[in-house]
Amino acid sequence: MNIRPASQISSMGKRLFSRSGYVAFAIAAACCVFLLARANALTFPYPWNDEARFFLPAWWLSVHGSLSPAVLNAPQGIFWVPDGFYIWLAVLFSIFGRTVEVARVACEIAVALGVALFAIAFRRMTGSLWIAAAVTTVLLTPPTIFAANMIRMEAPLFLIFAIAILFHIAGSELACASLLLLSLFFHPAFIIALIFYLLAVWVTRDARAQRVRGSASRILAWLLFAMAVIAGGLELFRFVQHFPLVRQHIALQATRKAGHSTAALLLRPQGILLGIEFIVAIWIAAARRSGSLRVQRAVLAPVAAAALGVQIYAIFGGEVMYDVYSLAMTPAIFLCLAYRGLLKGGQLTSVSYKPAS
Amino acid sequence: MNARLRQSWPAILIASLAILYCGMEWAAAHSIGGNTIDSAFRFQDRADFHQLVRNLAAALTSECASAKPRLILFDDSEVAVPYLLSGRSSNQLGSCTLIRATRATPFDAHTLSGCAVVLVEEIHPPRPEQYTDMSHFREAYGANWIVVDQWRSSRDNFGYLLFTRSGCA
Repeated sequence: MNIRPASQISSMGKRLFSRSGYVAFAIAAACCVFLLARANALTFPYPWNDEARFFLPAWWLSVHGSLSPAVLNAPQGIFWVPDGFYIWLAVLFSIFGRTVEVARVACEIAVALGVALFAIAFRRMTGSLWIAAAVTTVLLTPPTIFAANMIRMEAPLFLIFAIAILFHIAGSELACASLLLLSLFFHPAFIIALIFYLLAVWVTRDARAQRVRGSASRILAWLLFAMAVIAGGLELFRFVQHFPLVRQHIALQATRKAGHSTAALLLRPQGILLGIEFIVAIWIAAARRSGSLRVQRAVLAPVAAAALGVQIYAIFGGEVMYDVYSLAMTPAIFLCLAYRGLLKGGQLTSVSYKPAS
Repeated sequence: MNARLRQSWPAILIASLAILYCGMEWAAAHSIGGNTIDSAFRFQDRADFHQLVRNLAAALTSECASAKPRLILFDDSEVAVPYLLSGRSSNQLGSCTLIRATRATPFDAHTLSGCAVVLVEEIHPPRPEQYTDMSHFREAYGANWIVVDQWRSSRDNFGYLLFTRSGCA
């Protein structure tokens, strides 16, 4: 039997798992999620009433150009969530046709793309291809497939969060915050994440001031900010115009969510994960470090804060739809953060900084 | 060797945790809210759901063939409306208008009291058994309804019932 020497196998492994090899892995992970979702379409989950609640306003907008879907018995409009998801789907319907299948495939592609981008973000966060690949497997699990097959906002939000994290790691806090702000135009799930992120960015601003930023990324960040402010402003104007109806619909949602017992919500695996993640976040924030490690902590703390915000919303929201955040997305992010926290040296990939003179 | 192990233990720990967590997720979260991934019945369930949509569309088309305008009403638990309207450019079905309520926009008593109303009650997973005794239907809409058409799949997990007001012949 011909056995290769260990050093030869190790160098083969290195070649296979080079940076370009890792991009191929990220694409394979995305394809895996997409194919699993396709294989379980209409059965995981079964067609359910949320599909109708969120598909029909988009269908109505595409047919009638109106955000007041009479088909949902809402000729004056429906205001329990913002309109971003309907507008996104309506644009896709105008290109690919007004079918449920177009909506479902769009959500599946959004989640699959999100998985690929998260895989790349994990590599940048950990600085290790192998660790990033191992952590990416946390996203190749049933909650992610569930989110991909739902015609709901979780799919675009999952993608938005992946892009936001990539922007943050690349040094553009404004772009990251703008995307989190833009996500509120789809669903309020990242509202706590946005607040926590902004607080963490403000607290760690001195350490991060040493980071180098390009002018192109600044322009992109301001464009995203303008887009988020315009979308948010228009939505706010629409909500103010229909305030009595908005209050009625939001109150209905709030009453339903308030019906969940806090203890029952916390005594789930998601609650235990929140406890562990809280400890990791405190550990990252409290560690005394200097030089490049201080910059790294300043880069990672806002990611930890945003992920913690998502987890808190997901747990207290108490819906199975949020399992993609609480059981897949945030545990994966915190595994990367814990790995960085355990390292005594090294440098974040693609985070450049000016060394202290 | 010891120095190398000291250097690589965080990587071994985190990679092991990640792989372990992934395995636990597949074991514990393969069923979410009564929906099971890679269910043995998924092909049959998919075929039954498509059959439900086809049969319901045919039943509603037949109900709406007359010139008399009618309202086809679905409540907030129903799932078939997106599939009935998929690819269409109107919620008109022959002489009927199709409307689906939500929790925030329920039907008012006036809409439900008319004789030109057809109410649709669907049977679908993950809890098809809750539709068998019709008690929740009577609780929501009262007793003055008669079944004009119905269908159940071979495994009894998909189906529909069409109701109209009794005494409206």
